[in-house]
Amino acid sequence: MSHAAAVAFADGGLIPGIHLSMALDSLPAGSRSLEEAALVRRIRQGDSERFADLIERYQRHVGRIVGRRVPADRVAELVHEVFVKAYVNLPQFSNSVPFEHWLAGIAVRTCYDFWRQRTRDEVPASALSDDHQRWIEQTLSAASEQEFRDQAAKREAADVLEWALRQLAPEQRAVLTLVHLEGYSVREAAQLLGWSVINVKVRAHRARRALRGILHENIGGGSHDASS
Amino acid sequence: MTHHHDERVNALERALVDAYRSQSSSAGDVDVTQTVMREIRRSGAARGRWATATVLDQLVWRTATITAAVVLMAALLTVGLLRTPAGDSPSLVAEEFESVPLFED
Repeated sequence: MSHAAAVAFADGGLIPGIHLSMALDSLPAGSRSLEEAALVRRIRQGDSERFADLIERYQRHVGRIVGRRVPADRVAELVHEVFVKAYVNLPQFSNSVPFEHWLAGIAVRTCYDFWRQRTRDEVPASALSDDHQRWIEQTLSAASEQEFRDQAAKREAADVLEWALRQLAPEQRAVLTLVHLEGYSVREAAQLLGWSVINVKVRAHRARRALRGILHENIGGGSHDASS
Repeated sequence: MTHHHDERVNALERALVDAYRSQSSSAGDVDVTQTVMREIRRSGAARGRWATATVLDQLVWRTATITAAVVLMAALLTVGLLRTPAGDSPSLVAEEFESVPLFED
C-alpha cells in the first residue's frame, strides 16, 4: 500500500490486507510468522481444532475487508465463507507470503464473487432520490473545505457511492475499490485479486473512467461527451 | 466534458472517496469461530482430501518425470540407430566432394 493511502487510513486503523489485529500487534513480525507457520503445519497434519486460533486472530481483519465491500446483512455469511475457503485451501498456502495477506486475497475474491453472483441475479440499481441529488448539489457548492468534509461524512455520501458502485461491472467495482478507494498499488491489487498487473492497470483505468461518466451524468448542467 | 464539469466531477469523486474512508467499520465486527468450526467438523473429509491431493500431486509429477526421461532416451536411441546404417558422416561426404575436382587443368 502506498504511503499516502496508509496515512489516509491511519485514523481508522483500516488498512485491509495490511493492518494487524490488536492481539497480533504486540508480537514481533518474525516470531509471529514462525508461530503461524507452526500453527498452519499442525492444522495440515490433522489438528483441525487449531484452526479456531486462526479464526480468532483474523476474523476482525477479514470482517473489515468484507464489511467495506458487501451489504451489512451479508457480512457474517461471507466472513464465514472466507474462513471455510481458507481451511479447504490451506494446503496451497505457502509461507512465502504472510498468512493475513493470503487471507485478504481470499476475502477480496470472495466479495468479488458475491457481486458477480448478485449482478446475475438482481435488478439494476434504481435512480438517485431527491435527497441524494440535493446532497450532490450541496457538496458541489460547499463554500469551505470543512463544509465539504462535513458533506462527505453524511450518510447520503455513502449511499451515492454505493449507488455508483452498483452501476459498475463486478470486476470494475473490485478493482476500483482496491486501487482508487483504498489506495493499494496496482501490484498489490493484482496480488489480492489474482490478476496480472497489466490487467489490473487496464481495468482500474476503465473503472475510474466509468465512475466519472456515471457521476458526470448525474451532476447535471452539461452534456455528456463520448470521450469522457 | 467541459473544464467546469471536469472540476465538478473531480469534487464529487473526492467527496465519495472521503465518504468511503470515513465509513464506520462496525459492520465487520463478527464472530464466526463457532459456525466455521462446526462446518469444519461436519465436513471432516477435507483432511482426507488434502492427503489424497498431496499423494496425487506427487504421483503425477513422478510419472511425468519418468515418462519424459524414457521418451528422451528412446528418441536418442532411435536417432542413433537410424543414423548408423547410412554411415555417411559429414566428414566422409566432405572428403568425397573434395576428391573430385570441379575443373580439370
